[in-house]
Amino acid sequence: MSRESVRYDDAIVRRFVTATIVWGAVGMLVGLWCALQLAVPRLNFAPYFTFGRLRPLHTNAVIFAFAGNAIFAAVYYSSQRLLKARPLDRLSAIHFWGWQTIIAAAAITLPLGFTQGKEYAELEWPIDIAIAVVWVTFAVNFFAMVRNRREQHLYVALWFYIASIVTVAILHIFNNLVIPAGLFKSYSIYAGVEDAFMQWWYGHNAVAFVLTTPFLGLMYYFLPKAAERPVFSYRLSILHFWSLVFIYIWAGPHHLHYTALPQWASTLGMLFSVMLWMPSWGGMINGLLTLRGAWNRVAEDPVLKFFVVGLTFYGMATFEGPMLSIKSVNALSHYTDWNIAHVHGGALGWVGFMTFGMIYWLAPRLFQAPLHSKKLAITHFWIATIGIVLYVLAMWVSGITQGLMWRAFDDTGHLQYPDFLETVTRLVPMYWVRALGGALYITGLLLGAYNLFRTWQARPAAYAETDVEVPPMVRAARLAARERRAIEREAEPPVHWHRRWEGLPALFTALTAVAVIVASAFEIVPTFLIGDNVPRIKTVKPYTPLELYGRDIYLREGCYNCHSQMVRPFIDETVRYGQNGKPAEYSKPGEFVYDHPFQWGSKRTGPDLAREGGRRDELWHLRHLENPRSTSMGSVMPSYPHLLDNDIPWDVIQSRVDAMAMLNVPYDAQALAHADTLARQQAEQVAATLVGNGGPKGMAGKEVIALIAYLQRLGRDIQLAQDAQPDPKGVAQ
Amino acid sequence: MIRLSELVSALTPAQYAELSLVLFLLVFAGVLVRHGGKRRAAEHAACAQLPLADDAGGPR
Repeated sequence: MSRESVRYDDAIVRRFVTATIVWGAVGMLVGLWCALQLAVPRLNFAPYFTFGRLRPLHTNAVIFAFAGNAIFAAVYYSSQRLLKARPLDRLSAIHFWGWQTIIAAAAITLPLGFTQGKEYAELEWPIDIAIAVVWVTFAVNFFAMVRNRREQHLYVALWFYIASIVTVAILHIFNNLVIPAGLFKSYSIYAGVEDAFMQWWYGHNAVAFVLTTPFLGLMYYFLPKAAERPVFSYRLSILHFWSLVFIYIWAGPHHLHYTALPQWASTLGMLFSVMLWMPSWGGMINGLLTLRGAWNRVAEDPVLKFFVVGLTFYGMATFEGPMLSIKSVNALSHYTDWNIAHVHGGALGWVGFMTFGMIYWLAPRLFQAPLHSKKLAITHFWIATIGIVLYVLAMWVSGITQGLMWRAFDDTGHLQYPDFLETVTRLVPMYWVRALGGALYITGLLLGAYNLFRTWQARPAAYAETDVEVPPMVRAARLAARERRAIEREAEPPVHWHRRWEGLPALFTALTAVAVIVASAFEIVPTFLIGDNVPRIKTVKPYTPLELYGRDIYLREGCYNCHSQMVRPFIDETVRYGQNGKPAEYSKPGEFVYDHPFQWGSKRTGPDLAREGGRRDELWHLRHLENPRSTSMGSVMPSYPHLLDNDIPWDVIQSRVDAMAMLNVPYDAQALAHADTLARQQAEQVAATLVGNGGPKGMAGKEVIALIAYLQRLGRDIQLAQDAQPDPKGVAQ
Repeated sequence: MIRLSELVSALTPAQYAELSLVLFLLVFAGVLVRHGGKRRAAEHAACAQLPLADDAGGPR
């Protein structure tokens, strides 16, 4: 057989590794700042650097910049060698610079308050389009390597990469379908329950196909390399792959237990989440047993240390995840810091440690110099491990404490902690421990960055590039065989169907896509098309133009990062959020039909706001927004003094009402023609009420008035339904 | 002509959930049948070696 040669492109891997470290440091430092803001509210600097605007920057930076760049580094290094093919240089450059530009755009627009208001999908539509273009560029580049490969069999790591590439594209496109109402303003085409369903189909699978499957691909390649022995069971890796691909996609609804989501969807999400435990642990065990006979090296090798602890955290996170998805556990854990503990166990332990292990293994190979200091790498490992343990323990204690305080009743049958604030101030010591844990983890990362910098400094004057001898392309060999057949009428040597099947990447990719699409369709289509899922409530009307703008401010300031809008059907919640001694109605699906996007939230650092309307007067809201400590001693909420200074931009209100009307929100002719006039009239009324409360004059044109109008509307429509029909059971029908 | 929503409404949501579980079990059984036996042990062992052989002829 003739031999050819190929020169691997390690320059692109070096770039992505560097970007991983740089953005990792940025994203985690922003995370540390957010952690400190919760302990010391003075660290919020309005309007650009408040918790509500910085927390999305932290999550996006860590997920898409730190983990994203690490994934690309892993894919480019390992795929070239597994496929014996080089990517297309121009596409690699577009991919790298395009992705870094997107991250920079996110870092600028999120503090400016440009957001879609959906967790991990905050970036506005122009950036979403750019993400789709760059992702397709990456996909074309990857599949070009597959097409030009010299290895017949696609190793299992490549399967995980293919599943990630295909699924992320599907998730990103469908969850980000919006109607633009300006260059950096849009509304989700989905509303309420449907939007929640789409969001957590996306959100959970972002965890699956950004933070799990690519890192499993990384693990199946780099762990055998570091351990210098093959994966323990290739057969188990196949089972691991297909089980994950098929199960993960169904699990999203576990993020919405006891909300207004239909029960069947919630139960389905729970069942599949529990089923996920088995393949996940199969993968973890497969990884750990790959080290059979090499455990003695773990004591000395920092790469293996990171991999072993990373896998252990994978096991812990994939045990904790299914456990949290069980409804009775979720009833306690949801909206608390327990979720934050779970997420960071996975992100810092699994994603972070697998990334660091890979980078320490790559560094001498990429920079063609010995690692500057093995001792420093091991120090990094220990500092980061202690950091994770402190972080996770603090959030476990905080989450369980708050969950128990919310539901506690005293001997007289009253809530033991009726003041929500009490359940927050109790957690502040844990917030300090969390910040300490995070600071230790970042210190480790900075030590690693220094170690890599010193290794890079010792690089040769010019990197040696060696041509690797490889067999001919599989595609060329196939063509040649076909021609031979035509000429000699000889049969091609029989290829086992299984080998043939797995050697056909197009078919394999299609099957993976089918698994994802079928599972998604089973989950999503009934929700959208079976009308009974969302019973309509007659008294629920669209937001007025002023309230709509107020809602936009609520999104812009990231209020959903700390406040839910979902009273769950628990006695402690209906009592806590009731008014005038009467329990509140728990939230119904029909209440949210005009909510583009939904704002149910996922964490309650502050109280739920679904029944906020009418609980307090306008002056209280104004003072609270200006300085929360003036009305609520000990509150950790940021101050928003700029809302009292900013003028309402009346000229944008009509375009926003028009965009909502395009989404079938039934605005009347007056709103469609004179939305700004209606908004001004309502603002005058709210401002007059404010003055009547003893508040300042001249506020009618200020943004705070719009936000107050929105907050005072929350929960009012369901109250009207309750008043009109005394039987509360009738409300939900 | 029958509407898509009418077609989808022919089953209740709970039946969709049950159907999805059956579908999953069938796929899982299929993967087990295909890869569960010892017939392909040699092939799997060869595949598992791919990461270790990928730098053959390379600089390091």
